[in-house]
Amino acid sequence: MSSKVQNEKEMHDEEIEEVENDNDILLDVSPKFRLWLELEDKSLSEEDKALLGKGGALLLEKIAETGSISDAIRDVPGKKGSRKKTGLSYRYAWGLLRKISDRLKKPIIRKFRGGRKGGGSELTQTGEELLRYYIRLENLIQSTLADSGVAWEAISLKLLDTNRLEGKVVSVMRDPVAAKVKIELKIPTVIQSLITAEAVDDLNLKEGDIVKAIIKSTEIYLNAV
Amino acid sequence: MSGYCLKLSARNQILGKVVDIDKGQVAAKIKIEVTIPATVTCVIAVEAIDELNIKPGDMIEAVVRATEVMVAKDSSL
Repeated sequence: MSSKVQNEKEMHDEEIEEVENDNDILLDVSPKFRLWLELEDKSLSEEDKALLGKGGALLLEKIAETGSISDAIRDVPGKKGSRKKTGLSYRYAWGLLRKISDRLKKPIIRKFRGGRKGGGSELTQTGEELLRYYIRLENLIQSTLADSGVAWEAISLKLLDTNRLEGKVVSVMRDPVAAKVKIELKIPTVIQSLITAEAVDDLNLKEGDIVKAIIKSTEIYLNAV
Repeated sequence: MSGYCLKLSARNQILGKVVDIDKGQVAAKIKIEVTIPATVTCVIAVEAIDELNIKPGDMIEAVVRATEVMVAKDSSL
């Protein structure tokens, strides 16, 4: 019996040792992610919902940059499993763009005449908005992963009471570092304040009191509506 | 502090009426109703302007945590 107990204890000690060493591995580990946009439509299958992934986004970016599908496809990494390491076939690119337009029920690319090469392809407003949305999300997630401080900030912002006040931008003034945005609030609205119970007593705050909500300009974040 | 007149640096001093006080032992949630037109000034990183493409006329959402809203009351009232 004693030998069995001893073996188990040895095994247990080994387990503890392994756990202590695990901390070293985390220094060499970095998080990655794959982002894609899909349609909000419960009636569609997973495959039919997919709209735009990294490959599609790159293709749209290159078309906007070069003004032509032929030029764009040269710079986009090849399809997985294809013999080509770089570049997509014109047929594949065209099929992908068709698929996105069909699913959105709006064109994302249009042809134009004129310019240096006599014509080419460009993104429609829908195409531009789709690409911009993808890039913004990608940047947001990347910076969140890179800076763990930002991630926690974002979570606590969600957990604490937050005021989301709708309004219209009246003016924008910018300098190389910061920008000042004046917003006319949509009224009536309610602003929530979290203060100490002590302060309520100090101010003798009661329902019906006329007060001022004081907010530093640097404590307001902006969100697209 | 009563009777002492202070000028604040805070750009936003929004007039409203207290419509609810939810008071606990430590903290209290105050709801302030704003019915008079109010403009807020917001200072953010210039990159945000470009990323969100903010221009005059746009509808936007001003987000501010409740913990960053101070309440000022005229002590003579």
